[in-house]
Amino acid sequence: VLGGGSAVDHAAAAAAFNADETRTDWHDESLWHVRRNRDRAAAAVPEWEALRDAASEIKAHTLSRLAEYLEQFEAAATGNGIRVHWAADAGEHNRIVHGILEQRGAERVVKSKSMLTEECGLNPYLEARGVHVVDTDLGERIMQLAGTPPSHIVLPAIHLRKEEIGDLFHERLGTDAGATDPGYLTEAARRDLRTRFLTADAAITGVNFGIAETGGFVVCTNEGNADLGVHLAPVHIACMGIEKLIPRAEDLGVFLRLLARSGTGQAITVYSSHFHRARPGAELHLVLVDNGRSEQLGREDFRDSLKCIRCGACLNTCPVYRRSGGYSYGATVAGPIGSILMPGRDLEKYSTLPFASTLCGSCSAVCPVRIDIHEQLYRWRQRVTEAAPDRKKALATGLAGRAFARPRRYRRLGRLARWALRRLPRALVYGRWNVWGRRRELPEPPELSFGEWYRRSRRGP
Amino acid sequence: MSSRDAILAAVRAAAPEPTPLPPPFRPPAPDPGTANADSGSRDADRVRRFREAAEAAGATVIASGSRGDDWLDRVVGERFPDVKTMASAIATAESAPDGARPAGGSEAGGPARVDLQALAAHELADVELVVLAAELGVAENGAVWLPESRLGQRAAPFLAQHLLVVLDPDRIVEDMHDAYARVQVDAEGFGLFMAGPSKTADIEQSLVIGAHGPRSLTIVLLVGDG
Repeated sequence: VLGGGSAVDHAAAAAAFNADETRTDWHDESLWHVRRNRDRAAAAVPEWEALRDAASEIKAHTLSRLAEYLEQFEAAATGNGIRVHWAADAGEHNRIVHGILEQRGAERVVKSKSMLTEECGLNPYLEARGVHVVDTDLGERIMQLAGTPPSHIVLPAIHLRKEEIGDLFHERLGTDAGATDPGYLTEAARRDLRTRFLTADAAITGVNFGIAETGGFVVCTNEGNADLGVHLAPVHIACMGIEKLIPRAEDLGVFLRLLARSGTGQAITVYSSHFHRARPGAELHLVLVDNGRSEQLGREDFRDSLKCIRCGACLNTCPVYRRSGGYSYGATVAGPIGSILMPGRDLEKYSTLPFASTLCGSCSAVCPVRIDIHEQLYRWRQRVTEAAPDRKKALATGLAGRAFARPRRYRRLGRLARWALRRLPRALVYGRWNVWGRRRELPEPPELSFGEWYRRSRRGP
Repeated sequence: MSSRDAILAAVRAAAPEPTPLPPPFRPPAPDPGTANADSGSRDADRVRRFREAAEAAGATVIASGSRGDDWLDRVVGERFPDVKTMASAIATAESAPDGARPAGGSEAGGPARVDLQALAAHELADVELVVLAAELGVAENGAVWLPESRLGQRAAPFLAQHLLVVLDPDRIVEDMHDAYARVQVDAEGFGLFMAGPSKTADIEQSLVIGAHGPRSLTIVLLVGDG
């Protein structure tokens, strides 16, 4: 779990990221490239908007009857021979997973990408108990070797240059010094991980979709790492947030058409694996995790955030995310969606995240399940301000309100401001109080206000 | 109270008023131009779109006739002349689910064939080419549906260095909605949609084919030559 107990200061962290302007530009462009791929893929589907409607309605319906669907899912999954476990919070989730591993004497575990296990801090929990966990998604493996968490929910190592990955692989996997070719580096990781797949005692995966009617679940990957893990190890543990359910198998048609197109611009991920029963001789466990989700469900203003299918589109499109980097959010899920999920966990700790936005609405415009992300960001701002009023902002807006309320006072202040901007020394105008002017030039003050110009023009020359 | 009951109670208490479940999604009918076309040209168009989508996903798509009992040898000989070991889970004209042929090379001098189901996982990792038959293909994204019974064993399509998938072009459907209408996902313990060879772009967004799974995927559209 990131960040510990201290409050996240998004603006300060973003400023640190922006200190390297070349890297910031590169990060921005990399993600914009992914966003453009998404646009092309979406435009190629004529019924795209209808698919988004359907996805949003299916999710809304499922959330409105989630308890029934969870029971249906549990019964069907149990009927399929899947062992279903329930975890109220991260701690219980970790204990359950460790308990299963301990009972089987499993020491070597391969794990595919799962934001839920990241959220629960599973890796450090298991490592502290002598279980060796290897993340097998290439991006996550890179981050594991680097000893830092993923910075993006779909593209974990998007913030790293290939030179940095080359150095890391040279040190940890023995690749040639100075080698940076992505094909060469990927091959090195492939060879290293193949032996781990073949010798693992257990495999852990996340879940993209749980199917209530059939009691099965779907895992989507491009690399094939989740499947290599679970089809070789004697034990498969799938960890699933309770909001991942959908009612019917055929609803998968809607979601699989949206997921990869929204995330990376692919028409579908390479592998969409449907699990209903363990392979002969193996065990299949499924851990259903609440960890704050039922609480978020109870918040009328924010419950729609639970529709999220973790495609990453809102991160890729967000002008703030692209130029501040995933770590500036200090959260497992960064970007716009993280900024509406995390305050529900800990309003004090994540109080700056709803402000890490221009409220431009691009996130809501690309969201495949039509979450009104930017509206929720605005609503969280109101909650944050109610809980802890910002005295400086209150003072500033109070003063502005008084100026705007009296036309004569407003005109007088305008004249004063135009004079001041022209005459006062720069050091004073761009003093510490002028936050707006830190990275920007104030506009050239005009001779006349619009009102003065209008009255003069009406009088004629 | 168990965590199960506590979670269900919390979810019940938090849930909003029920909203309706929309009917299963059906894409709008094709535009009149396409609808008026005869079914033969519509089928040909669907095959063309499947081919394009599969190629966009990184697969190689070829067509082959199924006449005679050596079409697979022909295809493998042309596509994979250097492959030494292959395992197949398909029924060819001459043999029931494969592996029947003695190991050590066919008469034609092709690769040694091994029984897919009999292999231990680590042996499977050494097999260069795995041959499977897909149940259906999806035109909109180039994916093929492979249920467990067509895999030999679950790990096969992921451990193989190269993968060759046979598909009857008559079994290509329009989109994922059509696919799920035809596939019963829980009929078997496992099944997957697969589109292209394994890939990653986790290093600077550079596309690398052959991440952990197969380095190549060849789809053979098998047409009966009457």
